[in-house]
Amino acid sequence: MIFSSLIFLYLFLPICLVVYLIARPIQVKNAVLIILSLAFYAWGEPTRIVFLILSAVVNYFVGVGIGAFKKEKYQKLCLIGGLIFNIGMIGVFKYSGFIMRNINAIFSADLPVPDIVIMAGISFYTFQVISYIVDCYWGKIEPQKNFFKLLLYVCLFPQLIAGPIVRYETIAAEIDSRKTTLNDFSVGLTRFVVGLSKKVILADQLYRIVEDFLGSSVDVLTISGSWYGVILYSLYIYFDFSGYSDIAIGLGRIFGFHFNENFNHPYLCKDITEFWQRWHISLGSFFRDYLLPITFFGKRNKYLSLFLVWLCTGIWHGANWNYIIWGIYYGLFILLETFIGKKRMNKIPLVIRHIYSKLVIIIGFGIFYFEDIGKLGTFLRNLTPFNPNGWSGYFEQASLMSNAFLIIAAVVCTFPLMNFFGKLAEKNNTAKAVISVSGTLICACLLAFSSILLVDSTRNAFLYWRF
Amino acid sequence: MKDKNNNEKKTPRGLLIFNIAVILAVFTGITVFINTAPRPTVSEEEQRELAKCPKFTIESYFSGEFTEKFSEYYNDAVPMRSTWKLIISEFRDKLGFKPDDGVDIVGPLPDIEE
Repeated sequence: MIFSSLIFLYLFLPICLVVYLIARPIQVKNAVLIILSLAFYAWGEPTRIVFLILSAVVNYFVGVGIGAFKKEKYQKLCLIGGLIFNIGMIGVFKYSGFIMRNINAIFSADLPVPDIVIMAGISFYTFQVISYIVDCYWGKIEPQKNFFKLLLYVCLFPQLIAGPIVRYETIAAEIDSRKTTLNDFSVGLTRFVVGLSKKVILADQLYRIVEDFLGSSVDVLTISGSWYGVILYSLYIYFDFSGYSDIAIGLGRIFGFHFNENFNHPYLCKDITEFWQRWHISLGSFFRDYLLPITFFGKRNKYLSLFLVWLCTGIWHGANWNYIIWGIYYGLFILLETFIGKKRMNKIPLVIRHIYSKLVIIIGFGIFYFEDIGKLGTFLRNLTPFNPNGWSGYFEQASLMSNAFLIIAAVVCTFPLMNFFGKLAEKNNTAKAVISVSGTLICACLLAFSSILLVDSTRNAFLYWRF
Repeated sequence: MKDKNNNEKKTPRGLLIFNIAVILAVFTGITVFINTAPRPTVSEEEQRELAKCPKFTIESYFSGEFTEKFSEYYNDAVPMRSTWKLIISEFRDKLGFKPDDGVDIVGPLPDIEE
């Protein structure tokens, strides 16, 4: 089920809210959330919940095993078993087709290529359970002895499909005891509406334009048309993914869970290192905390370790060469910035750093977009003066003129507007009341407008669902 | 329970209640409307029959057919569909959003003129 669909918003969610708010005590609330989360995940393809529950069962026993054994040797065996299972699950469901296709291509073989449909959210919930068993092994958390509490952590529907990747320690206490305060409910509702609006009003509308430029014949794009398309794609992907995270965090808050932030206005970054501290924070911190310390290269060679982290970041995003290139591309810029050093980076004029970082990010999203390597090559050429179609054409000018309001709104919304108004509201009580009431009315209008736009909407799936 | 959001400034209770009440009023209003108002069966503007509510069977549920068709019905046969479509079209005209007409223009201008 998709968050930005009428059936989720006006059938599933109202039932969910009413049943959850009536349910007492916390054990019943947890049971309600488990049942609704499984129903949410099963919608469209009921058999896939078998694998979700299997993942919870296996990792529950791995956690219990790590807790039960006193000798580190046995604890390590449990952990390795769990890691093989989890990575194997992603390997089979996400990468088997890609691996077989490449084996066939390299060795001119004719091995059968498995046609497995990627299960929505498998990369997200598998990374959550990996973080759980590794934290159990490191002694950072106590293994959960109640299976249903672990199942709730694994299948909690707000963040099940596209993150943020929530650590068990973040919500462990809230699984046992939580309370939705008036502030939680208000902030959660507002965040939910903001996320929905980002997705429906900005991302979905931007994608319609992106498809016109990047989705069809790349070879006829002019230089400005190529840049225009990829800049809008960069805006689209931000609003699509951060919109989902906002909805997840907002819903979590309504149910009394406090998830960590996943985005922090990434386009305000001044370099690529900072970009990755602001973009998909939960994935970056996962690799930093779980992969960097245990890489084969150890602490002796941080550059090779960094390279491995970025290779994995690319592979995580999808079973295609463009994602691997995309990961390595970012790895190279991070390595470059590490070589230069923070002090010397800070000496570079701010304008130049902003231009450099935005260029790298925008070209990077071009690599991310094109799964066809041939088209990617054509597109990258078209960004340069080697483009045979010239500098500019009629269509990008017409498109820019007719979508000016949307594009301006999208650019403005990449800035921290909420923080700006929050600071303005601190001045005095009147300002606070005016800003708060205006914010409420704007949110109500955004909810109504988003709902109208969803009528007969056909292109509303979130991009990160397929990861 | 430890408050993980200490950085959030205290908002007066009255403003919180106002925020919840207004957003929930819109949300509840749309929920009641969309689930109780009569659903159209035909779109005269598009000259087609709208999706019908599928019959539930165990087989159709486990094959995913029921959920897929029910989602299609719920999103397609929305009460007052024509009015909402007209509003969307007006908004797109006024705000300059690209119309969702399914027509994509591809290729340089001279090719299309030919």
